[in-house]
Amino acid sequence: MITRRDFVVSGAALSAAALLPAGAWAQTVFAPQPGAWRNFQVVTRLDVTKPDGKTDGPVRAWVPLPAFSEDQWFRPGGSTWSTNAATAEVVGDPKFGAQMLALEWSASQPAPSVEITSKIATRDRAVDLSKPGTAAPLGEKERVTFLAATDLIPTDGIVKQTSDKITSGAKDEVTKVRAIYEWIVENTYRNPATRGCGVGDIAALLKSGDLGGKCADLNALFVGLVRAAGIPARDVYGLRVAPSKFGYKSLGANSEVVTKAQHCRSEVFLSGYGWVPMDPADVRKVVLEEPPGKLGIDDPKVVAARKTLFGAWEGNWMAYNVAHDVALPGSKGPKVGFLMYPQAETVAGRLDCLDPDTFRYSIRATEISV
Amino acid sequence: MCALFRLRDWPSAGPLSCNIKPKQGMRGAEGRPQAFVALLLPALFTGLLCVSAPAAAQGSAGLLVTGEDHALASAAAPPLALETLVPVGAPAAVIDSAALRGRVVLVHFFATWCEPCREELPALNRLAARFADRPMTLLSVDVGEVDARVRRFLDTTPVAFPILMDRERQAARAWEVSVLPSSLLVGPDGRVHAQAQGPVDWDRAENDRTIAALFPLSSPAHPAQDLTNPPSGGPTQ
Repeated sequence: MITRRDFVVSGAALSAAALLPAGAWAQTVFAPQPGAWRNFQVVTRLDVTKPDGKTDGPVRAWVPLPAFSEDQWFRPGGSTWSTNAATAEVVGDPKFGAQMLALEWSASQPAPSVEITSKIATRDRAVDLSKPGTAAPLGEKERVTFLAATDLIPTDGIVKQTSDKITSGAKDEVTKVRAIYEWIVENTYRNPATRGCGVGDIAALLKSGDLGGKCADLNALFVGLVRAAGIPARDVYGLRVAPSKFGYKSLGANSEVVTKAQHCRSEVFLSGYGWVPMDPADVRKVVLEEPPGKLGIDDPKVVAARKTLFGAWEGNWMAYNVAHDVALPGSKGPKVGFLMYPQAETVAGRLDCLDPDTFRYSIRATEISV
Repeated sequence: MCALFRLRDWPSAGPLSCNIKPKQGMRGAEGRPQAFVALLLPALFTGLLCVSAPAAAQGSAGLLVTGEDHALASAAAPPLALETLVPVGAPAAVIDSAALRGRVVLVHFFATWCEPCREELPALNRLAARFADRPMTLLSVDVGEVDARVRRFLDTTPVAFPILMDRERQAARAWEVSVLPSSLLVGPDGRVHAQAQGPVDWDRAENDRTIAALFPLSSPAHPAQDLTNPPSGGPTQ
């Protein structure tokens, strides 16, 4: 529900942002608040290229669908598709509920393709952690799921040791999570050379002593450290679909073409508050990429992002799922650590979803009125 | 470049190590340890750190990377049984290191996105050729990549040894690999005798000596079995 106060706060922040000259950045500008819903249409097109001279064998593809649903901030509006595939069906990941469109083309299809149109509604989120919350506790099944280790996010060994060290002395959940969030911001960095969004092999990250990566690395590290502290947490894999209305060029999709705008955020379940949005990886993105670039940690834009992204997200992004270790139905290939990119297999096996020369897809996002 | 050190040769001086660790208080504009800046190489696709070593600049005789502190130092080598990279359409084949007991096995973890890994492969070809008539097997393990990408890479960089596909990174975890490239030298006794985290200069004579020192004194000049360094299933076939 939009209250008059919400509207005034959002409107005031937006107006202030619009009026501020470059360089006059106020820390209070970046203040997402639940307000009006925004509706988007996202069109994903995939054209699978067969290996040279190889026309035998079927072609399979799996395209993530925005099926995540949280009534307070994200509502999937369904997906439709057109394809020359022999079969196309929506299948779900049994553990996390991630949905994907699974397709299969016959060997005789010379140019396998699919175009999927998805609609979603989303809005800003913010949780006020300064006041006691009244959210219902997490169900036992979900609690177990989001405390558990995954293939790439162990919660023992070096992860547990690191988490214990960071949270030593912290008495309550919020203080522990805050300590881990600040540690991520202070000790990691965004590595622009990382392919895609990274992989998120957090034990290797810690053992290497080099804490560079992108969102799937840094937020996975955050999630793993929080889980190791006994607090449920999860990565939410998704896609930026619109520019930031708060003026952060690095935190938005600045074109309708969002093929490379995948981004995962993170949530922590705090008693009384429910799932709380967080995104320490985006703080590091602001440090590296926000113009003019390579900002100091004390730059006002960084300070604002660091403060805000502990408890708030801007609704210029859509969620696919919160899944890890996803087995692709019908595939004999390896599980994927997370499902944020389309995947495909030919007679040559699994294709490299991050290689634009051999794996062609495009995603376009448009804000629509309903 | 690293030399391959035996575990007992582990150097105590930090600058010789390829295993780069951040130093507190050394931070650049992006807040990362500056010591890393020149060492980090493009693409952390597997989540593993890819490192080059400042060896040449230091004039070190051996940048080594082994040590008693390594989890696998002198320990029994973990199992290693993985499918090899094969040409498109060819049946899958598995190499199991258990079948290589009694031989010296060099297990080399790499990825095609890792620049020093790519640079190292020609020297590994030469190493395999030098030891072709000795009881040594070189197993290269590609970490976390899809077959199609590795095949494409081998179109331009053929190798003369098998490539095992660690598609889900399970072998890398079992072998305590956190940086690429990483190499572990397993003796005929099945134990890890040396290892290097970071690139190795495989043309250095001392590395040959480290490997040769593991051969049993009675080992024949020619291997008793024919399982040496079969080429990868990539374009070299």
